[in-house]
Amino acid sequence: MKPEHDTKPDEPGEIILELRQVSKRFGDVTAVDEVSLRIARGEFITFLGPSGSGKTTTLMIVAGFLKASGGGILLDGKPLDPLPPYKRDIGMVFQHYALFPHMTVAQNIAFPLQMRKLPKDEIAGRVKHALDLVGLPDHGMRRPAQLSGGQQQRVALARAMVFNPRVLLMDEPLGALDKKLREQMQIEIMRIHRNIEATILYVTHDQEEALVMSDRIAVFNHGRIVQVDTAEKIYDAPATPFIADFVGESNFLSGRAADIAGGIARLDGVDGVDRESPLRGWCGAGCVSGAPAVMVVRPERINIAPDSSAAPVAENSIAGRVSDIIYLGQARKYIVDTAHGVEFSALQQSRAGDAIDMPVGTAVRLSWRAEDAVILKDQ
Amino acid sequence: MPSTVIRDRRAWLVAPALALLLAAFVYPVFWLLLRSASDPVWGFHNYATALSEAIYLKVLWNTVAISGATTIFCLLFGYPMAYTMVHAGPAARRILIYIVLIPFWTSILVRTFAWLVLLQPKGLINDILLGIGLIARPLELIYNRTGVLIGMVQILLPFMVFPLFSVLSRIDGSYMKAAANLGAPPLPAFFRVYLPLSLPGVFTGCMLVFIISLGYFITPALLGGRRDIMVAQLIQEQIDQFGDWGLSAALAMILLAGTALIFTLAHKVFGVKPAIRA
Repeated sequence: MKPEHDTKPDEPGEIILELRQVSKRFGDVTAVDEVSLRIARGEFITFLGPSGSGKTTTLMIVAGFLKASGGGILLDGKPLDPLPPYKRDIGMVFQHYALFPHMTVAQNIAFPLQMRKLPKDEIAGRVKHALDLVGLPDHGMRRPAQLSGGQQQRVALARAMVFNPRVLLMDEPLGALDKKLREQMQIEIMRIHRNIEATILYVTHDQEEALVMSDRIAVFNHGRIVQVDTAEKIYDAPATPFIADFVGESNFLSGRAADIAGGIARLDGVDGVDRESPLRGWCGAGCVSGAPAVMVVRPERINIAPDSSAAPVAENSIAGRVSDIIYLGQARKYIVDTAHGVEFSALQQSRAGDAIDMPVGTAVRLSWRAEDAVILKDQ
Repeated sequence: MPSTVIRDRRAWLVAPALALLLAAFVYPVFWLLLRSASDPVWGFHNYATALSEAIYLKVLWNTVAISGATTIFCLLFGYPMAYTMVHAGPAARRILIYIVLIPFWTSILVRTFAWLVLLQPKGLINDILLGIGLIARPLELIYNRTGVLIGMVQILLPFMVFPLFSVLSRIDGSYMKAAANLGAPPLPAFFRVYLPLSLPGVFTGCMLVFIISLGYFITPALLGGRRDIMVAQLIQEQIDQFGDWGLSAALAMILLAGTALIFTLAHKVFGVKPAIRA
C-alpha cells in the first residue's frame, strides 16, 4: 500500500528542519520535554501520540504561535526562533481549516501570494494551478461555507502550499471528516506530497492514518518522542510496550528476559512460574537477561486452534478459553481468557461460509512463531 | 417555523409587552401624527415649516452631525476597548467589563452633571491644565459642541463596546493565526481578516449609537450651547415655551421617519448578507 520514497529515513538526506531539545512548559506542566528531531527535505513525517502528548504543541512552536521555553529550531540551517510566524515561510493546514469566511475560495488561496506582493497575473495563474492540483478547478468563486467538509479541506491544503512553503504543517487535518472521506483524502495528500515534493510535518492521533501516510513516524508520549522510525519498524519493532499498545493492537505477557542468544530471548517467570514449554521472542529494546520484560504479540500473528490434550505442547503457546467472538467483516477476533489470567485477542481471516468451529467457551490453544513476538523492557 | 411559533399558546406570553407597546408607543405616535397634520388646521403646513425654515433645517442638520460625530468617536474609542476586552485574560476582562458597565448603571443626569463639574471654565480639567502651565486661558469645553460630544461619547460608549465585544469574542483565533502563517504581518492581517470579520459588530454598534444620539436630550441640553441645539431640545422648547404642538409633532415625526429610514437602509445594505461567522 505505501508508496516507495527515495528518502531513506535511516540516513536522512539534506536536513531541512532540525529540532534541538525543544521544550515547552506551561507553569508546572511540561508539555514538550527536550524534543530533538531531524527532518529531511521532501520527507513526510508524522507526529503520532495520544491527546496531551505534546505533538500539537511542538507543531505550534515550529509554526511560531508558541515560544519554546528551551532549545531551538533550525530551518535550512538558520535559527527559526527569532522569526515571527509571518516571516517563517511555513505553510499550515489547520484542524478546522481556518478558511477566511468573507473571502471566496480563490481569494483565500491568493491571500499568501498577495502578502508576498506577487504580480497579479502570476497570482491568478498560481491560484488556478493550486485549484487544479486539489481537484477543484471550478470552485474558485464560491465561499468556503458553500463547500463540503472535504472540499474545504482541499482548499485549506491549496492555500497552505500555493506559496511553496519550505515546510508544510498539518494539524489533524482530517479529524473532522468521516471515515470514507478521510481515507480518500489520505491518498490525495500523499499524491500531492509526491507531486510538489514538499516536506510535510503531519500531526495525528490516528495510528492507522500515521501508518498509511508517513515516511517516518515520531511517536509522542508525555511530551517526549519515544520512537522515530518507519511505519513498519514502529509496528514490528516498537521501542516500548506503550508504543506497541498505541500503534495497532497488542497482547502482553509480563515476565523476565533470559537465555538471550542470536537475538532471541526467552521469557521466564510469567505468572511467577517457569514454564515447561518456553516462550521465545526476539530480543527488542531494553531486553536484558534477568530484567523484567514484556512479550508483545500482535493479534493477527497468533494462531488459534481447539486445544486437544493429545497433541504435544508446542513452543510459544498458551492455553485459554474463548470468552467472546467479534465479527469484523474481513476477520474474526477471538477474545481468549488465558491460563495466565490475561486476556488475549487473536485475529482469524474470515472466509465466506465459514462456520465458527470454536464457539464461546471452547478450550483453545494460542500459538505464534518466535519471530512474531518481541520482548521489551517492562516500563 | 414562525407560523408554528405564533400558533403556539405561548404566544400569549408576549401580550403584556404588546399591550405596553400599543398604549405607550403606537397610540402616542398616532396621536402625534394626527396632531402634526391637524394643529391648528388640517394640512402639511407644519411639515412645510419644519423642512423649509433655515432655523429648523439647521437644527435637523445639527442633530445628524452631532449623532454622526458621536458615532465615529464611539467607534474609535470603543473598538480598541472591545478588542482589549476580548484578548485580555479572564481577570483583566472582568475589570474592563465593569469599567464599561459601572458608568452605564449610573444615571445619565448624574453623569452629565459630573461632566459639568469637570469641564466648566473653573472645573477640574481647566484647573489642572492651567496649574501645570499647559494653557494660559481656560479652554472652552462646555456650552458648545465639544461639551456635547464629550458627554455623549462617554455616555453612549457602552452601546458601541458591547455589540463589538460580542462579535469580536466570536471571531475564531485560528483566522489570525492562519493570516500570520500565510505571511500577513499584524496590520495587513487586521485589515484584511480581522476587521472584515468584525463588521457585523461595527454596524450594530454604529446603528445603536447613531439612533440613540438622534433623540438625545439631557446631555446636549446641559452641556451644549444655545446655537447648537438638537431636535429633541427644539421639540421640548416648542411645546414648553410656545405650546406649538403641531410643529413639535411634525418635528418628532420627522425624527422618527429619519430614524426608521436609516435603520431600513442599514438593514438593506448590511443586513441582507448572512452574518459572517465561522
